[in-house]
Amino acid sequence: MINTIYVENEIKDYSRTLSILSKFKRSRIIYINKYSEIFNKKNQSFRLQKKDPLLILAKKNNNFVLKAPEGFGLGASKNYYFSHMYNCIYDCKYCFLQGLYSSANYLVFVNYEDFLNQINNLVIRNKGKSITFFSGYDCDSLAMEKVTSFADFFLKNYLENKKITYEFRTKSLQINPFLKNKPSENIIIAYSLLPGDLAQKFDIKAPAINLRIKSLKQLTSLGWKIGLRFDPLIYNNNWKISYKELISTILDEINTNYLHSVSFGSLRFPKQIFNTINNMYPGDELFSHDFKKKDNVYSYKGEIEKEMISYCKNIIHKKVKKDVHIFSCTPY
Amino acid sequence: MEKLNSTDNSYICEYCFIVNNISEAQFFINRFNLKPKKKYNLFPIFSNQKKDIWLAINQDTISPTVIPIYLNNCANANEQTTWIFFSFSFLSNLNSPHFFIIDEIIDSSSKNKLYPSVTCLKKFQKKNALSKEQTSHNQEFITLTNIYEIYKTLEKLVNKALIFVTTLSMPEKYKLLDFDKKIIKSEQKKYITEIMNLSHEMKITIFPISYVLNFYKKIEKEFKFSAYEQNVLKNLLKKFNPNDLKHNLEFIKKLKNGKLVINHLKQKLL
Repeated sequence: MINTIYVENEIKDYSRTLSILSKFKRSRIIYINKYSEIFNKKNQSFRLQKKDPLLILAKKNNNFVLKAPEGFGLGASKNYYFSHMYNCIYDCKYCFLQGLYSSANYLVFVNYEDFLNQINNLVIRNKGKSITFFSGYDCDSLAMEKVTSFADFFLKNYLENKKITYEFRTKSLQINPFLKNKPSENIIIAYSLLPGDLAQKFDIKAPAINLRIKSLKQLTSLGWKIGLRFDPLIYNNNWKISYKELISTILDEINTNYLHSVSFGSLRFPKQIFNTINNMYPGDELFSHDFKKKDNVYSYKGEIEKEMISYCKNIIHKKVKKDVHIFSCTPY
Repeated sequence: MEKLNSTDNSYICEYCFIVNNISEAQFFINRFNLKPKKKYNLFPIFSNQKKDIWLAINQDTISPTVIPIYLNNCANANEQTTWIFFSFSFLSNLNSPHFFIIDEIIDSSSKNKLYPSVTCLKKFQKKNALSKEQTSHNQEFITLTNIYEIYKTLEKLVNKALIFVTTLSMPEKYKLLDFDKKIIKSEQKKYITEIMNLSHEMKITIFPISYVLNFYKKIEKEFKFSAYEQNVLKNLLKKFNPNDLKHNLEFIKKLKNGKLVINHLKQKLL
């Protein structure tokens, strides 16, 4: 239950705003001029707000679609990301969103049409080039779907083009928009996955792994393309057994004909975010292994990273078709 | 500004209250046994014997932006101090006194707005308030004297999540009956205590490392530890979730010696 909702005056009469507000009949609504009055304040307590987040409805005015960081992609010549929302309803301890914004409140931009317009402009400008657009960088792309209906809007309005791929990255079970629509060649629903015991410790408030696998199964059974994102790979004493079991379970459950891609990335943090998260969770198991700092990024020792990625890649290679893209990520 | 209290750092200021007049201060003075601190003469300043609770009464003759800064200095407040502004107000549609948290402050002349944090305040009723130089008898809105200036200064000075703007709104009557006075006192006691307890919980979340260090100080007072054991203890405590520590304190205090404390904590981590 969201107790207070801040709404920018400019969008207070938008039908989408009213539709979202109608889902929170008992919430207190406060009208504001700019979302930054609430979201960008200095010295907010992220952890405290995470306990009781508020919702802010706003209009985004620029930068609807941004270039994805180096190393973040599925092999297309260009990679972009877009975020209709900042922050996430989940509280995964390793997530870079833990330290990205000073606020943990949910900020939803309701002018979805502007996101699609900029995507379409980019497609036109890069005619003939392969492009991947990622949703779910500054938020989980489906977790708030019941409130935002963003994926539902997107599936009804996106531009179909053979060269273009759209990835919805998620841990959510809110896959209704996909179940209601015909599968598309252009769209991938990619799930972030951890072995069950690690997910229980670190994917706080996120759906259990077996439920995520159930959603993957449901999506492939209808012909939707899916992606498996083992990112981050988290090290512990049992990691080999845990990851082997996880990968085997998934591949046994899903229809692998619809497996588009698999990616791996070991646990890593930009320096500032590492410090922020470390202060939030003093003594947490997540930080109990040695981290090395290289180029302002904290990560496991090089040999651990390499071993984890090549071990998992080998398992996957043996079990899936050759046309499935398998790659490693280095987003920072 | 020079720290008025810079020579005395032997206490930790936990709570600062700001009110607009002596009748609003009375509840706090009685409840926390506050005594006037005569060495501070710009505003009437009160504190309890432990000096962990402080109160200042605003004065019409001085700019309202001064009082938060002055009290902050007198009380030697820090980022973990809870700030509670309290005032009485009137609302026409009430039958009995009602406590509100203010989540939107509107400056009556400029119409500018400020939004106090309402994180973790689900259980309280919230309302907006007009800020005026003088108390108004407009009964449609809650009107609080100079709250815009006071909050604006406080927001820059202290931790935003720990500022609470509160009011006890009353139906306007010619004369308050004894019965009304009793209700007022009990409402003040109930809600102010709730806010103080809640702010304590909030601090554990906001400052987990400080909480662990404070916990260390509490244990260190009760038991003897060698220098080596002190280090072991500090490192052990850092591995705990602050909330788990909180639930263990009473048990730990009953243990016989420092070694048993360390063993108990080690066991808990297994």
